[in-house]
Amino acid sequence: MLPETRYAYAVARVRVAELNMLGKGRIERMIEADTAASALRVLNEAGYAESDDYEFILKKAASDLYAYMKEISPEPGIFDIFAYRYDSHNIKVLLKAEFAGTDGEGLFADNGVIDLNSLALMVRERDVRRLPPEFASALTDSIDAYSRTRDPQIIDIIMDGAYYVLFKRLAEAAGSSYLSELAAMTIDIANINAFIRIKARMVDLDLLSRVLIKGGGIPVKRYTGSFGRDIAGFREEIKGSGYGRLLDMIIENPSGLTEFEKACDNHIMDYLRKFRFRAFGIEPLVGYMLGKETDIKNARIILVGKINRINGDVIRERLRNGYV
Amino acid sequence: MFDGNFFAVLGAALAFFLAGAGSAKGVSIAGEAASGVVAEDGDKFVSVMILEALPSTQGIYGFVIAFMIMAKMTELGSALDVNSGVALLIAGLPIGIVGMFSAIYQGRVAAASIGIVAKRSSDMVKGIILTLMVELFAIFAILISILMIGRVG
Repeated sequence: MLPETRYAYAVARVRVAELNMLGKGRIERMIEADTAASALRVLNEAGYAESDDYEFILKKAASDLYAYMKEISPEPGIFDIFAYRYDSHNIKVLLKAEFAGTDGEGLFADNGVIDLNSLALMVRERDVRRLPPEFASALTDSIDAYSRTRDPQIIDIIMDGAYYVLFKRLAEAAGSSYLSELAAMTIDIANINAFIRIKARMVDLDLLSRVLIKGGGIPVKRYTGSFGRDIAGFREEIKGSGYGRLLDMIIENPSGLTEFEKACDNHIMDYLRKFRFRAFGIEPLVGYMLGKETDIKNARIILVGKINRINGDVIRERLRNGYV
Repeated sequence: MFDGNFFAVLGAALAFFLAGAGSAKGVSIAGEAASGVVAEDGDKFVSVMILEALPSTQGIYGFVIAFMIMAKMTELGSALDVNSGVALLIAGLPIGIVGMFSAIYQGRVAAASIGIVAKRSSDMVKGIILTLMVELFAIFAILISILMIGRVG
């Protein structure tokens, strides 16, 4: 990592850009808007592109975001840590399309680190040399596992796990305790989600140990060791890890998985917000970037809701906490 | 070689060199933040410029003390004794050292305060006040340096 004061320029830019984020006021105005078109106007005011096609606006905002982060950051490479998520997604789409005999058109994400055409070629030719090692072995594993199980979901599981491991490794290589902690937290939350889902469906322990990702704050054996116990027992097992509040939600309302997922996103957002007012360092940049992604997610929920004339309170329930 | 003049000139050099280097660093930190704000919103130029300039005072103080030490040398005549020379050297250190550190730290506060202006231009004065808190110690340092120079000779 560079000395944190090298980030003064980028942090100042983000400070101004935060003015265009979707705070409570803008979110409420969008929900209260009579039509989707007037909700779109709120987005236009906040610097989003002008168009009637909300999908286009949101996609453009997402791809502009990465270009912007790389433009302002003194270490643009750091943001690849987050952009590899899209490569992982693209590999999934390419593999599933290949197995299903389709071309996957329209499902690709454009923010990946690796150019989509060369990625398609690498996957088609099974040429993994230029992929990050985690993706290279995950690609081989996915093909192998799919040929045995014929279950496309296995590709998702393997590729998601590979991304998290890559995220953790690059975060540690960057030498930033903030990024490492964020990576560990993301892994913990993914693991807790997997634990709860697999337990709820009463599937076998085998699947759980395959899905769990190493590198989180909670060691993998804590999950496998608690598989025979109930969620309250698991909560006791991971006491002091900071996720107790999340597990309480599931204990109180075992079927509320949607709310639980939202609480997980909010948990990460709370961590990001803690560093929002730092004057230097990468923290406010990462916070802005992930916060803006949440904005885009929220904007989509509201606009889809508006188009389908869903009640404002129902929309509100689904929204994630924003960064500003 | 190590006569009074040598030590006195060294004192003048340190007073300016340290404080000036600190100010350059402090202004550059604040300046990077200021240019970030201006890149997003050119209308905020004036308010961020004022904040950026605040850490430059330490360099000015160092300049004043270096000048005063040299004036004192002229006053005391060409053959300055070693004791007076060393005394002038020591007199240059408060503004040199305190000036350097306070300028760098003030630059950090200035950069953070530029973040306030980035949010709301009307809060510029609050940012200036916060940044000036650090100035106090540089002012104490220049006062002590001046008092010390006055006692020499």
